[in-house]
Amino acid sequence: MKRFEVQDILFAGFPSRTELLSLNLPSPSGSATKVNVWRNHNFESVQALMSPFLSFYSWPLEYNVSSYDDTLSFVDFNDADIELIWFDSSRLMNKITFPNVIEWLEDRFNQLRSKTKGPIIFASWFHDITHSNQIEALTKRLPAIYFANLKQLCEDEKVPLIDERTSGFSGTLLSSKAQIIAARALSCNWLPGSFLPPVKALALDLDNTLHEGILGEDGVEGVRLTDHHLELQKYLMHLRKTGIFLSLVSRNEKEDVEKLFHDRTDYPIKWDEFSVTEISWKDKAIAIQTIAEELRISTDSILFVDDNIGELASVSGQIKNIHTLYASKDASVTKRSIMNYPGLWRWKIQDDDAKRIQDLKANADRLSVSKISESVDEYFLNLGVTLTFKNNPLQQISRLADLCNKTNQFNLSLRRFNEVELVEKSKLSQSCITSVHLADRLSDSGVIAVIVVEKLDDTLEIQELCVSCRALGRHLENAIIFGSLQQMPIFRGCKKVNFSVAQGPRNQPAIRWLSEHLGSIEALLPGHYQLEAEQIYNYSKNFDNIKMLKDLNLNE
Amino acid sequence: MNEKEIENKILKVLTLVLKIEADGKTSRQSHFEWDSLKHIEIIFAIEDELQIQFPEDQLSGLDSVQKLVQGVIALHAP
Repeated sequence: MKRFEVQDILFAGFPSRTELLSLNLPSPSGSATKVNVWRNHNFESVQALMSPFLSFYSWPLEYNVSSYDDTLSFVDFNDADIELIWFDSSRLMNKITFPNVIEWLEDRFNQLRSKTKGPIIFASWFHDITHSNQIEALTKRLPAIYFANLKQLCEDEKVPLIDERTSGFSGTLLSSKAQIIAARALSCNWLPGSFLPPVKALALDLDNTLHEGILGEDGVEGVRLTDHHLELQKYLMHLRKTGIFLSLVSRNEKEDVEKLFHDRTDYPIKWDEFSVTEISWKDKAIAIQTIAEELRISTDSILFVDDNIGELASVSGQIKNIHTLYASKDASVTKRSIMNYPGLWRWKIQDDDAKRIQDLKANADRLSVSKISESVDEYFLNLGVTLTFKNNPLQQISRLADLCNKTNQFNLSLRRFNEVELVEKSKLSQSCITSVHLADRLSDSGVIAVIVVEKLDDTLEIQELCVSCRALGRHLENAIIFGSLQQMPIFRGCKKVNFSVAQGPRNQPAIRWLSEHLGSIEALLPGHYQLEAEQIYNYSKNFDNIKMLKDLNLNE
Repeated sequence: MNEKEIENKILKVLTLVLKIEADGKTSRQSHFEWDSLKHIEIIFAIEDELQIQFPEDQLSGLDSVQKLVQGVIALHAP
């Protein structure tokens, strides 16, 4: 069966159990992500239903499923990448009151957290919505613990959560339909949302993808916005609001496409809402590479959606690791395929995610300012650049963990701290985590850098140094990095600063930056490199035209 | 749908879930793969395939192809 035919089955309004089981897709190969499953009801039936989704996305999972355990004792713990607590809460609610449930669960989460720094997903349900809300609040309070609310999922999908008839045989109260929907959510949203790198942009074909028909043949008024295409476009606009870039890659005449988006006021997506448009007759692989460059992201964080199987194959063949989806004739399937694409769905949408699109838009204006400025200093002055440093900001930990794990270009050591490790670091007196917020008169870029350091005698060891791509190309690297170091209380008295360098596939910008400060003309090899603290003090005198603020924590 | 068509649908489900070549004589007694977890998967898959729902008191007794076929026919009886 062809990939696009499989897509129609997996992302049908409601997938059929027999069709899912008959797909028989090849098992994904490569290094498997390990998942510990701690459960008190049947997980195996859901696990079987997850297989076709995981095979479709080529994501190999290796499960270590515990025996049935109402006490969540986590015995026989082995290291894994993700912890999944698959829990029938009714077994607990029959025995103790809800306040005791909350207290007990917090204790169990902490117990599991003491064994792992990885993400923990608590998949369960509570019939009373106030109980669900309290569990949600509890998990939000704890780093990298997420509540997968099965009741909410079933309500959203309009399927019954419980089937009392079968619980005696199946080892679970979950209905057949709830199991199918849960398998899809686990495979496509919940597990990848906690572990896989994010998809940052959509590269969308136009004809028979965003509408029905061919613009060049049917004309502006002839192409059809079906109800399903309307819903698809609305969903794409929703993604844009969460910080996913929309780009258009179409073989058409540019003026025709501009006219289409101008004249067709019924289209929810407007021309200006595409961050990049590549309308031409050139190879789509080349067009997508241009889109990646303009968005300053790598091609492996782009999802390309097209109704032409040949185009999808050609782009996949030319761009390694790009994500692709077939735009089905039924746009509701396309919408659900995108909704369920791993890496697009996120546990938390942060304010900084939504700022990304506006910030990129402002880059064109920054370029104009750059052209009229006679020096970099004047450029900073004209833009009104402000950097705000904050040390050990617990309320930003989630964003900082995102930066550690998503930044590929300006990431010197690729240490990739997660939320739990960052919280632990922030509590150590000889360590410091600094976040850097960037704004200018054109836009608020949000938190764009994180630096994690530890002091050893008179030396500051830089363990993690990440600057978001949205801050690159703005001549701000020195101010961000040296400014961060200089304001740290533990920088005082230091004589040396050690930088740890790892070689990644795309972190050349960070390595080049350090290399220039070391006065090295050779490419740096992985290892440790040192700058004198005095050099950093002296360099920091050059930032007169950048407003540098310190957002004090009470404990500083 | 006649009896033969129902049986064919049920055999298809059994083959899928148990990963065996099922025939009209297949039963829980003859196939160790047909354990309690697989039993409920079979029930769910048949319900899904035929758009039916077996009553709770019949679920444990539907332990062979023949009983499943008769169970479905009984649901369709006027």
